[in-house]
Amino acid sequence: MIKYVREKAWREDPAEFLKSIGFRGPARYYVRQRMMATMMKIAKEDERICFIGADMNPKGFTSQGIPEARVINVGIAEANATVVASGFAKEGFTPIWMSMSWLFGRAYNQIFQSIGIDNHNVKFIGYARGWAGGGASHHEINDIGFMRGIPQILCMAPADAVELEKTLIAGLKYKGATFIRVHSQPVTNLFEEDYPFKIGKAITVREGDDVSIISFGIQLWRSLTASDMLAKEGINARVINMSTLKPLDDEMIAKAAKETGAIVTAEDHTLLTGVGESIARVVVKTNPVPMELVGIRDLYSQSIPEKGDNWPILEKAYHLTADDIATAAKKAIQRKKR
Amino acid sequence: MISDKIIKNLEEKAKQTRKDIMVQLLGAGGGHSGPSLSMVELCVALYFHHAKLDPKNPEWDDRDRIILGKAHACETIYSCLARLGYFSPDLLPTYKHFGSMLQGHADAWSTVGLEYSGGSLGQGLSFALGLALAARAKATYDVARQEGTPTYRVYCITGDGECHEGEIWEAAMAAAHYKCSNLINIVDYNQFSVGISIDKGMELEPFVEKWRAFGWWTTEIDGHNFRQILEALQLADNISGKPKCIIARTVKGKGIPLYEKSHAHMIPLTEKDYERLIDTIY
Repeated sequence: MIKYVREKAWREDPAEFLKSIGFRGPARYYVRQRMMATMMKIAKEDERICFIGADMNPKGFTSQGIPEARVINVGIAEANATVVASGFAKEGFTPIWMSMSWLFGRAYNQIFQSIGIDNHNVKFIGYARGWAGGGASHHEINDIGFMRGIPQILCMAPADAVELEKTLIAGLKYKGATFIRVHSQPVTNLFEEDYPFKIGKAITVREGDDVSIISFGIQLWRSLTASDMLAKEGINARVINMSTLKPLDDEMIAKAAKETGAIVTAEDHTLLTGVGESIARVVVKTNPVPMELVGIRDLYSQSIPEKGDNWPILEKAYHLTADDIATAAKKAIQRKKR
Repeated sequence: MISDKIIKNLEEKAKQTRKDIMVQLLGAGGGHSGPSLSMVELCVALYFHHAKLDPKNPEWDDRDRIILGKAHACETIYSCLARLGYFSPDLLPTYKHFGSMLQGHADAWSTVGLEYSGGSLGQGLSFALGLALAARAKATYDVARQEGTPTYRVYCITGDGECHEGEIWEAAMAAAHYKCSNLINIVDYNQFSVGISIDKGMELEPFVEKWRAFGWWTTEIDGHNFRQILEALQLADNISGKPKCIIARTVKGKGIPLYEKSHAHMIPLTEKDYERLIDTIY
């Protein structure tokens, strides 16, 4: 039984889907476009929203009517950007600091001290270009880990443009440091427009009792594809979208462990300091059951060509495919039977 | 005109501040004697004379903001805040005690009157820049502020060693780019970082020229001479279109002869040490 997501969403071709909703342009720009549109709408209504950027062109915002004094580019200086944002937050603003997710790592101590200690209301939008031509230096593989490690910061990773819009709206209203990790890999709109997103609430998008696949971001897409593969083999996988990465929905995790007896976690992130290990902590504490963690294993990535849809090359190289998730599910179930 | 009376009053406050520093160091069993003592006159001039503050209203929106970038020298600021009435001087001996309002590094969450929670260096100036830029951003929705002239000044006190941090220069570059005239950085140039002198550790000279090259109005003064400090602060107020830097040449440990000689960054302090040193304050 499918809930909250469109019945055929993950089986559709993203390019076809986007054409069908009238989007023109490369598929991977759709998410960014919807993100910018949402932010602009909110910023025009809320005079406390401001934009801080490191090597960002203010014209992108001022041309849409945001006052110049509320759009600050500091040049290629991420540490300064982070703490300038903190200063704005202290003065009652809601600064949006948008960058490639891995770049926040340059300001780790700044986030820890200048944002985290006083829980300043800075919104980190970690826009991931999603493993592309940049190579090892440009791939976000441990950003969630270092962000979750900052006490008090709220961390979320929406799965598609619909969830992103809702995450942004809720995240901008929320009072406190916030990290939203946005992937840009082309997907259809998985979620229905009226899906009741709530910060901190994981949701079951596909019912099942044989195993639970807990996922977020782009991996939700792959988890749903994996559940199709498993269904062909008579295995009913429960698919859970856990888009709030901190705080985790402990109740949902415990329930999934109890009711399905096997858990698979799937993340496009390193396993070390990843969300899977935290989910394991909850499982071990509440209802210990066999678990498999799908994620990147302690290594660096490399480039793929920019043209065409080359992400599958990296997906395969780093064992993040739907196939990997389905295989992991079967492994976990096997251990259940012993 | 700055009268002799004003100067004398500030000098007395400076002596009181040095006594308060010793009381805190005794209460905690030790602390950052050198860096706290070197910036006494700078802080007293700001807190008791030049800055627009209201101890009864720490959140007053038009207050001048003072950021301690070198947050380890918080003993000095705690004394100023206490003597101004932000909290009782009775709290001073509880410095660094678990649960005390007075943390080991200046922390906004803990101490009323503080704006920033620091400790890791190089960030205070960026924060001060954010506060300063926010003043003009407020004018975009607050009709009362739409003159274009920010209603408050932001002072940042940085250490000389702290200016080794790259982020200081990121902030310096941006402040000049944005012609941030309500931002005043005061460098406590006491010539030492933790274990070594600045010239032997990592030379900052030509220091004035560096700030000027980054586009700041810059002046160099004797950081223990109240007249020079007040004149520099006044001069800075009259400069428009650029941020301001006051480089204050100071002595690490100033005011207690033993500490002046040793330039120690951090010292332990026992009852015996306290009894021995408290009356040597000048």
